[in-house]
Amino acid sequence: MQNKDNSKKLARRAIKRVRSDALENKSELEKIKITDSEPVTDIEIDSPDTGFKITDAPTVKEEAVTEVPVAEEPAVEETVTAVEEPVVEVPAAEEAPAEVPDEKAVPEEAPSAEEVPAEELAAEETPDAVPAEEIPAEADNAPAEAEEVPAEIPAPESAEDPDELGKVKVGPMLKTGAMLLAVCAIVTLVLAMVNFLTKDMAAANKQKDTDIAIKELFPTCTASTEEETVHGAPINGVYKVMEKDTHIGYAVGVIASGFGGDIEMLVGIGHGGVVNGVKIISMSETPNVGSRVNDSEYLSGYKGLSGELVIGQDVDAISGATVSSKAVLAGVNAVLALDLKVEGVATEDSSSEAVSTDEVTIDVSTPIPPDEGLETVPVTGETPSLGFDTLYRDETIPPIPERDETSIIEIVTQPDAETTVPTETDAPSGDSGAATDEPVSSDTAPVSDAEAPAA
Amino acid sequence: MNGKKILSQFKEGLLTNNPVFVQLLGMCSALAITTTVINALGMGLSVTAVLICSNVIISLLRKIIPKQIRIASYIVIISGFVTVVEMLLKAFAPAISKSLGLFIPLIVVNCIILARAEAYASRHSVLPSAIDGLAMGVGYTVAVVVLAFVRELFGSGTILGITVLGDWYKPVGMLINPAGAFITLGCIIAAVQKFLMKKQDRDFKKEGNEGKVNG
Repeated sequence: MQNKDNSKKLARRAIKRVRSDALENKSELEKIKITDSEPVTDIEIDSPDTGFKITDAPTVKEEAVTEVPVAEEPAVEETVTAVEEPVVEVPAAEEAPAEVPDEKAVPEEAPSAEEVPAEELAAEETPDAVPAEEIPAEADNAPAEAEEVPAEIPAPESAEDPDELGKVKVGPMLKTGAMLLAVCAIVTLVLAMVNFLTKDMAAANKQKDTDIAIKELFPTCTASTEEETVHGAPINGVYKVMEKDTHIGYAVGVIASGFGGDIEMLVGIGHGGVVNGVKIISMSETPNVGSRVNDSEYLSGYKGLSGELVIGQDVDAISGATVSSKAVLAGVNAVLALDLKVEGVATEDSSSEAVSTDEVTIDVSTPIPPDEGLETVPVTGETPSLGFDTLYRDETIPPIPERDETSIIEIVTQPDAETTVPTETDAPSGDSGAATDEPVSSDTAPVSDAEAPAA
Repeated sequence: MNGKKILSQFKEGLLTNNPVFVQLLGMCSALAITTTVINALGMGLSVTAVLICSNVIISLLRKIIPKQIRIASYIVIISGFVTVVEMLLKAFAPAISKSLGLFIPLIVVNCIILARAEAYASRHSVLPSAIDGLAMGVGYTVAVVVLAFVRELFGSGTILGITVLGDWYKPVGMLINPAGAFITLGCIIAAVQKFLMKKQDRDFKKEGNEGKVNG
């Protein structure tokens, strides 16, 4: 009994499908009626017409054969529906997969696309087709007519298929594509607007973070500007750090790849190219393990180092966090490899400041580290007692205790620029260095020109 | 849309169909960002915001978007909102944005959001969808905060960055690690299930377990 119930259900479902299909799809109705003229009751009937059609769609025939017996059971009990059921099953199985999906996608276009081929094909191939066209309007959803469908249906449909595929599919694809495009366009527009509104704030936040980090590396820093010079990865921005008008070092952003991702850090380079400090801005190392490289105690171990650092010699690795330690080291090494020269070097004494390079002479307010190789230094600034003697920068020269603020020649150096910019010049006493070709300023120019040969 | 229905939606989101503890959705972020309570809170609120917005929009568009491209459209809409949230966090809460890092963009593929879009928002009208987004978002937030609370308290001895367990306490480092996240989550899920079993009748139990496969 259960089996019968099931098959009844199946049959009813099939009827429903056919009815709805018929309502939706005019052309299907036509097909149904095409066969109307032929009283076909058995699916397996081989009418002269079906011969070639079945070869066109062999699978269709199989389906029909397999499904009929299932549906036939209830036929015994319920006479009215039973008659319909076995037959109804077939068109549902055949037509639903082929046509229904397309239909739903573009309801407006489908009928027109399908009607034409249906008529043409019918006219060409089957003589029955002529009456078929006339009938459709009469019966809209008559399941009784669906009874006779089986043998005939495969023919026009399989012949139609290629045409349908070509004609129907383009429409919905364009439509859905346009829809997707619209969705993407709107979302993009919204994103662009939000980006426009927030980008300044986001950039300001990032700048603030960097500023804070630089301030920690160089507590005396008053201003920092990002250098335009482009460095490739892993260098992530070079900042020139100034204390008032004095160049006191560089802060270099660098990204090293650690154990759990990138470690973004800022390395301070002070006078003489030594590490002034290392600050980790962001990282995703394992908490409590790799993250221990962020201990200020550990990072302070980098202070004062220069050259190519080797782990275990210059700095230790943290046990358990070797990868993270090496990443930090690699980052610092990458910065040191830039070989940044902090040109601005100053001594506390006002007499013996100056570094001789090819281009410029500078003095800044901090002492030159001992390892800074300084040889002959032309005198700049005002040192009346020394005249134009060449100074040997030496620890032995006693510093002059009092600093005469007005006497310091302030020269800011760009790495390759040859400009010398005096900021505070004591005109009468200030002498520009012999090595300096350019006049220090308009005030001192005549002096230096006149006296250079003497030196 | 009466109060009782809203209440039941919240009950579902918070407990009986909690996205993390019962449905086991969005595990990736739930395990990764729950090292500190503040991270979990930030992530939870971000997810909630995205969930509400995407539910509302998808519910509005549910009749316009063709069936074939609905998933693609949902993803585009969701990722749009996620990017908006990311930009806003960068502008207004840079600290949270920094500590959550990659996990904000990854909200896009958080299955909670797509699951709610597909299972709820695409079938219901705007208001219920918004409430569903809120309820599920709050459920997610509560879940990750509970998880983070346990992990931060015992893993670091702090809550919201403030040391609560004194020097005498030796933090269990493993809890902060991914393995600790799994173990903690397992314990919490067991507790929640036990609670549900006790409280609910058989039907309710069944309903709770159904979601488990969706992972």
